Amino acid sequence: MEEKLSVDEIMEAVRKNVRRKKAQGVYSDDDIREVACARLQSGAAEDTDEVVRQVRLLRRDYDFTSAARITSHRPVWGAVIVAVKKLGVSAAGLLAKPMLERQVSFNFHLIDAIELLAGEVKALKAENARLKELVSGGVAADKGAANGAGENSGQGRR
Amino acid sequence: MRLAFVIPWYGPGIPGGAESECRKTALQLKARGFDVEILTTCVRDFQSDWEVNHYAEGAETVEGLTVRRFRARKRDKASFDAINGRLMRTGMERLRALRTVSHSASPLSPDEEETYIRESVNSPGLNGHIGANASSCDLFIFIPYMFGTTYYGSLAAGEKAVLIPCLHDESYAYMSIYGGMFRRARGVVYHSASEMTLAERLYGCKDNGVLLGEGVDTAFESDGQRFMERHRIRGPFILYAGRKDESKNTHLLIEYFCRFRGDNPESPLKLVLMGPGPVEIPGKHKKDIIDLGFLPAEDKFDAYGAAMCLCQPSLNESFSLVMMEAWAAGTPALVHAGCDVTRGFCVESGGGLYFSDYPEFAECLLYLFENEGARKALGERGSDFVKGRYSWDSITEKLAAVLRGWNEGDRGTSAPF
Repeated sequence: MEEKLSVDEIMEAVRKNVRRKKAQGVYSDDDIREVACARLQSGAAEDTDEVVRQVRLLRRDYDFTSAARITSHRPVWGAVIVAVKKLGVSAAGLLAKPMLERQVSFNFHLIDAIELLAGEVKALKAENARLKELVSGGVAADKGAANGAGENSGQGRR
Repeated sequence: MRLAFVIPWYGPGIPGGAESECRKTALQLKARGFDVEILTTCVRDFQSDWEVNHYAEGAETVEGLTVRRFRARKRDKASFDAINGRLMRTGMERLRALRTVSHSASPLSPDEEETYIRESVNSPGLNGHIGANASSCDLFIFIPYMFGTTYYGSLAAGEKAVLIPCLHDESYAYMSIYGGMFRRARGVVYHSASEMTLAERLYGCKDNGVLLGEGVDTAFESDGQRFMERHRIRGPFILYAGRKDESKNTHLLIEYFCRFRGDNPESPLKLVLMGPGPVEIPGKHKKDIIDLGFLPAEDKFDAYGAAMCLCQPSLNESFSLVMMEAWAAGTPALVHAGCDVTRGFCVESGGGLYFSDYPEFAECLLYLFENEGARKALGERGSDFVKGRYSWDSITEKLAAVLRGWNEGDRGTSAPF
């Protein structure tokens, strides 16, 4: 049976397992964050609107206070190294956090504002396209009328 | 019909997709009656110093082909490295967004682009030879796109320049200097629809491209048992074959595999790496990750037969010869979803899975390991796909027809074969 599965069907089974294990806590919040970033990137790649694409990039990076995963590959000293790194990051965070939080808040609201403008630009573009279509349709109708019967040729120009 | 392939370095033992493609395509065309020669520099290969003239200047016969070597010029490495470093540090998303504004938008100034090309591999002697022989040679075929030998060589060849660009969605591709080179060429041979679309998006060239693919050795023998015994490998493994460096995403594969082993301590799966380049393996995982270095072709073909799957994590592929070879051996592929080319081939052929993050990577591995029937079916579908479409006979016949057309004055056609 499994021999007949297509790549799409197998990938759906794989994603189902990922979702199940996330619910069980097998994959951590860090993994989920990485997943979110990866999906955002692939979505952005498909987007052809420059403004929307730039806003998505900003949205991904606005919160730079989220700590990166702290890891170490060293077999014995790894746990100690991770603990020291975490301590260092926490200490630095205590001093810098109030300032950084203000910056992150500013980033967040700025991106919101840009996103509103981006939405407005998109809507205006669509409206502009519709208007152009209407105008070119009118011009085509004019030409058609002009090429048609002589007594009606003036009407289309209104 | 007289053809000259132009490539920065040339030799039977040089690893690399473009180098191997150039050599085999030239040999195949010669076997079909074309008068073919190779024009190259005296530099040994991509990994060596690009201004060290390893080979003697002059003509020699290699495997029946005339190879003419020309001295490489001295380089301003500091300028090149500074510009290259800036390009490498510029995020791909930023570059892609920049290019949507205009085909001429570039992360570098025109002067910097010129410096980059001039200070890469270059040979004034080679360019002079091309210019002096432009009337006696029917077509000059340049491969790959990004080096000085291709840029200045194609200028010297004028309307007789044909490109086999091996174009990837990588930072270099976003330099606007390449736009003119692509648009001026008599014809451009693409390996995949994604590569062709990328060239259209980046350079706006629409009327001189041909989607052809690339020839693949499909008739090799693959003895998995022999590989396992020779390298004393026990148990199932995933295989990485190719140059090991950051541009190929090898570090991501190692990072993900280490996490996979940490999450699945009972799994017998190992990771076997094959190919040139250094790699850092975390001490804890030295038994799980085996780096065999550069191996002869026979070993590589045996490895395909022994592997549970071939993993191609690279985002910068215009074709992925190793993936095609693994399919020819009936082994499924696992590729990075961020590479349109390899993911597209997996979906089209039905021969492989793809991952966009660690959880998907881990679950794909577990699925392949636990479902032997599905794994074999994926491998068989991949095998049928590559044997039906990319055998050397099939590809060379198509390429020969395209080159004859271009020689008679046609521009490329967008129609795929």
